[in-house]
Amino acid sequence: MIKPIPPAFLFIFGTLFIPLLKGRLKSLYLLSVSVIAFIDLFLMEPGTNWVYPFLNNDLIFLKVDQLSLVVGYIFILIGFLAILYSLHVKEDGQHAASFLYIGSSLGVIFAGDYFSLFIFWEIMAVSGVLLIWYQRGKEALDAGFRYLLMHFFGGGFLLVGILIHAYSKGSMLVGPLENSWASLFILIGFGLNTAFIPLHTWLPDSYSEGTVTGSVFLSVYTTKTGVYVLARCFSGMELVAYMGGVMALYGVIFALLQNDTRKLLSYHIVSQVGYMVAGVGIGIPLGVNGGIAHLFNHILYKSLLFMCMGSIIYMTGRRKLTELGGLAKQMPVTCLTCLVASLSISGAPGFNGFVSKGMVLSSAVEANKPILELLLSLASVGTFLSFTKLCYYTFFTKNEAIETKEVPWNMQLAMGVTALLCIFYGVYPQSLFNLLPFPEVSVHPYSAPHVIGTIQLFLWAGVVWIMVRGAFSPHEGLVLDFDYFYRMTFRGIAWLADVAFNGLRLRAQTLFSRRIDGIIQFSRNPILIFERIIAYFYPHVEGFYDPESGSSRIGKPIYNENWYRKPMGLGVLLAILMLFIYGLIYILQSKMG
Amino acid sequence: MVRTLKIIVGVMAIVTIFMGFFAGREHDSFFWHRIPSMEAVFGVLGTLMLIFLSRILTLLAFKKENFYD
Repeated sequence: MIKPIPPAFLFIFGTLFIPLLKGRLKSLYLLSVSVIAFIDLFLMEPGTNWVYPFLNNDLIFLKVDQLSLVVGYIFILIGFLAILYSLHVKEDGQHAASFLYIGSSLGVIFAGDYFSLFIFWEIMAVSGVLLIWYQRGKEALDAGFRYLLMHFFGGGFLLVGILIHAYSKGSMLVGPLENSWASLFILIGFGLNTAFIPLHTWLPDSYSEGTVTGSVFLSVYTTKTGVYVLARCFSGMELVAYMGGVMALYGVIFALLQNDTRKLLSYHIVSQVGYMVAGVGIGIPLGVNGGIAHLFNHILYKSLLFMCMGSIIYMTGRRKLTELGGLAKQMPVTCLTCLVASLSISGAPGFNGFVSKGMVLSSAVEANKPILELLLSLASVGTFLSFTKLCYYTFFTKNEAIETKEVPWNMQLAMGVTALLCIFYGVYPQSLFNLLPFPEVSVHPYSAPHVIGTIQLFLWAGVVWIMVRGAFSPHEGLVLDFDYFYRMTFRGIAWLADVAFNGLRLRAQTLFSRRIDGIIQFSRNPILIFERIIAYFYPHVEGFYDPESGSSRIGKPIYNENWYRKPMGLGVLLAILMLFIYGLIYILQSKMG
Repeated sequence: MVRTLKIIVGVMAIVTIFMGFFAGREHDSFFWHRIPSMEAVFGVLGTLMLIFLSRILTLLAFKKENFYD
């Protein structure tokens, strides 16, 4: 029987062949790697494989269980669709970066030990930033640097946590963590990738600046690997559950104020990941299932939303709601798929978000967490309003300044298939339930009160939206987030380093340079000490007296060849004296001996 | 067209209120679960609360786009 290969390796080593291929063969190759990885995953049995001893521990590249399998399936499935969406991209570097990014994310999912998890974690950060930098331009470059800084900061916490854990427990196996310093550091490391408030600022900052296709990949992997590792290591932690609730509401409020379409979507990633984190943090089987089901569904509709907004940017070059409008007739496929994704993310009955969002909310009720239920419900209202705003101002307002057409076939196909999957998992959720970590948990999403309650929520929120639509109209501007404090702190550090510390250094350097100049002069000619003292008190003494100015010039002696003879003479005198003493000692020793 | 759409939304919204009285309860844990058609109330209050919160945020943190430049 063929031994399954870690899917991470298929993508990471598959990167090497991308520059060697051209044209249709390359397109075929790019798609076929995902297909092979999917078949590979399909053949896997639960267990641990690809284990190598390393520094008294084991590197485990393939730990397979129900949780890693379901996340692996959706990662590879959406990888295929995102690659299909980006087939028209000519730059090999972009394809290579996306392959590395997918591969390293899969590496994290199937890693059985913290060391290999950390390695893949860091490859993910570095390959992710390439998908931003390929956009080029100052904004993308700056956002990429901030992304890297934040992720290396989180990576540093993760590494410290792993080392403390390894030292205290003597084990590197990935698994549930107890309350300890190690787990705190690891939680901060994981939390940064999962966009915990206030560590989330890298997400809206960078995802809105990525390439059209790169942002589709970015919207999928980093935060979801974060949710996955939280489910592995911190399931049932109350702090994590409430953090999820805060994320859900915080993301929605900020999303409502955005003008940049992809920034709006990015804040909704924070919000939607909040639902997953809440489910995982609640920790009961329904909560974990809900969190992972939401991860699965969210990947589908969020990548679809990024595809739709990316298509609009690709065709019109516009990304702000204030500049868009009237695209429903010109880009019907994009409009239709965007509506499907919007209904899915809002949790409308018949779409996949309805099923998983309901599971997370039910788990909050089941775990007796009323505040969490209210936070998540309020976030649900905000999500509906936000996407009503996005669709309305993008597709249905009048804007005669834009003349465009639909995107290339590959982009349309990717969007169409993803939209169908959103509907499929909404209509037939059992196909997803069978894949979840606790398949025995029974869920009935289409109960009459759930369906009617959701419709009520949307319709009445919609009624208020119609009545006070002006309150949601987009405006040119920027909403400050926690990154304001980070930027100000770094500017403060830069000021402290540049103006304060560097100024002090320059002053000290000038002061000591003068003194050192004096010492150098004295060391060249020690007799100057006496001459300077004499010159200070008796300025007309030869050597320091300047006949032209009529004054002594301490520190800047006039050239006088006698000054240079004196040390030489003194040196010869000292040498003769030393020779004499040496000779004297030698003679005395030989006499006494 | 827009007017018709608004009327349809309004009528449906009112109809769902009545449906809420007959649909039963999904949960029975907290007091708001026992109020019929509570989701409709939550939809209205939630929207107003979000408008309020976003207004406060706008007052505190809304800047020009070149703020960081």
